[in-house]
Amino acid sequence: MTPTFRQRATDALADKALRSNFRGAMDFLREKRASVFTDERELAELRALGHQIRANVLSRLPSLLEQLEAQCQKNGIQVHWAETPNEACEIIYQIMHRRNAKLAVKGKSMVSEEVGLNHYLETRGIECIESDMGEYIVQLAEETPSHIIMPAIHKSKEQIARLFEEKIDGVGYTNNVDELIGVGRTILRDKFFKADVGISGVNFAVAETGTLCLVENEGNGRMCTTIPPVHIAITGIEKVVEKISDIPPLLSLLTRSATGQRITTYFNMISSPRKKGERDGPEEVHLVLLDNGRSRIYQDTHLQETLRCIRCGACMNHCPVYSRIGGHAYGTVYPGPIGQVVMPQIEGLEKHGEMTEGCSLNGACGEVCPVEIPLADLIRTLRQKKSAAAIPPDNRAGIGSHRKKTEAIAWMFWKWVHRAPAIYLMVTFAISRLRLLMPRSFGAWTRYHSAPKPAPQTLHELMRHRKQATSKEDQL
Amino acid sequence: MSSARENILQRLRGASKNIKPAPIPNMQLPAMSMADRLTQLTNAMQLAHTQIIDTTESEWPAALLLLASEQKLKHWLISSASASAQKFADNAGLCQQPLTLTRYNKSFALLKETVFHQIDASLTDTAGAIADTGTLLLLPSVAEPRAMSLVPPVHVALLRTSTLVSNFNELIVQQGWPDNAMPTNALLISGPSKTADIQQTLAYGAHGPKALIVLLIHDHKELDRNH
Repeated sequence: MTPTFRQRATDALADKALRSNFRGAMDFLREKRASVFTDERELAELRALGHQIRANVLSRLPSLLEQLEAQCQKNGIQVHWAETPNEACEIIYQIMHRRNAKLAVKGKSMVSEEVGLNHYLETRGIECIESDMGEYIVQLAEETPSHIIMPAIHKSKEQIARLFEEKIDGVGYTNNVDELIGVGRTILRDKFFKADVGISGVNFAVAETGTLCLVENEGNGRMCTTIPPVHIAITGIEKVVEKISDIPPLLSLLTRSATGQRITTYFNMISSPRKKGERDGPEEVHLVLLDNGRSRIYQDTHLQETLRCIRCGACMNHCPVYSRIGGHAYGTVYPGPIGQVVMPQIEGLEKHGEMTEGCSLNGACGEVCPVEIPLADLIRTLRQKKSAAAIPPDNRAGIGSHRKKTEAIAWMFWKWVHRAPAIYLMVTFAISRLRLLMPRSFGAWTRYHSAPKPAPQTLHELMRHRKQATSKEDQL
Repeated sequence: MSSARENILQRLRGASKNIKPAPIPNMQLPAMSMADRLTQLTNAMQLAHTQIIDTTESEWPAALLLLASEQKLKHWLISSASASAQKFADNAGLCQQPLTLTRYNKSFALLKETVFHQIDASLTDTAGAIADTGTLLLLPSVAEPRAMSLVPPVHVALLRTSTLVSNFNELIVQQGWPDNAMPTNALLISGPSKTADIQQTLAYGAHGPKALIVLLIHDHKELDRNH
């Protein structure tokens, strides 16, 4: 049986090296972000703008997707639609199969992680190499990314040095970062040179012009979309934006929120495959639009706010829970606050309802979100849904799947007491008088807290006494 | 797969009626004077480890030759047809060390081996630049294909100050997008390739060029200079 979120979190908390790696990384990313958002007013205006641009996209999502498709096709980009991860993988596999492709290089794409593309292609005899340095390290270690922007954030340079020494022929131990990156560069350049297909994600897909935008620092995204004869981009249907003029504010919000850069090294706008006469670039460009539950999320006007996300990772960088337990504890493709909102909606509350409990509802995530997603509110809504009593007939969302009888009875009692003043007074009076009978242990709560001790008198009694005392003073 | 398309769009259409678009707030970014643009460009570029060599229209070939000999950049990849490439070729003989110039005049498949394994540096033009973030705009073309600014370990770019704009919004206006069709590939480049994926330690030359050198040609009008 796979361990639960609670078990994984407990293990992560006990792992000193992991704790220190995350602490260092989170402090670094928070400071970097703060250093580029020094003007509070500008930040507030920019976030409001980002919110509105993304909200307007959602308000016209179906027509913008059709416009994107038509524009891409006009530009020579082939557009495919996939409802499920399996469909997306099959579409990509068929494109590669038709070209007799054996080696794919992939730029960072969380959606390709979401659909499990590497595994799907591997079982069909196609090697798919991750080319982002962090993802390459994670793939070499046979792990998954622990952060959506910095995949190998859970590893120290010493751990990576040992990994390289162990897994790459002819590489000795060195914890010099320039040398380690040099090793990755040499190996991956050879892969770019030989690859039959390049696979990438998309940060923004512009409907008006049929342009795919990619944000990156390393150049692997450009390699994957330039060098191999075929480029396949995969993205969620929510990544569309309306106009090219919407891009500057969104790009600025994305890079500053993610890594504290005013802009990344490369912003790559791809609008067509190699045109006649051009000497490089892919001969074919494909865009795979993935639904995987997004159109279901879209049905609920509150939960729909999830789809504004531009995947910057600031919510996890500022989450007190994520920064202590790390990305792997969530056991999902998307970790942290956005993961706690996305995963239960995509794969169901039954499977991922528990992770919504790993949140103190402090709201730091929502405060830094560049598009003002009320993440804590959404997490609370999902918590309510997972424990709800009414279970709809077609319950793919897993509503009520985590309902506990004792919890439900406790709340029923609480509600009953608080709705009737007479009963409330009676119960609180009884508790204050029977306070010595209070148990000293309350399971998990008293493991880290002292047991609550009721006061000898109820608040109502205390207030009555005070009122009497002051009125006596007034008389004197 | 057309059924997937129809199913997705149908689900979305069913729900989208309930949402009304709201007006988008207008956020005006201040336009900078030429002097401010130059200062900001220089600061932002230096912060990103982009090297800047200030020069003029008549002096840049000499500056480039000096750079080539100082940094021992012998084998260059240059455009098949641009005026800049021709100017470089005309002057190459004057370099202190012998230079090999390869023109990107055939398809990538035929040049791939050379581009990946033999080139020391490339020279490209730029279509403009953003002062705010220290960003070059490259519009690869038949004469100057995409790989030129990506594969060689050193990328030298010619930037004319007359093409410098304040911010990304202005660049979109300058290029006339979307009324002018978007090029096959438009690139914003803001430094040498880099990564911080190993313990947040910044390393240059991840997959693309290890160095980005800008020959900044001061060609803007005096009117702008006094602005």
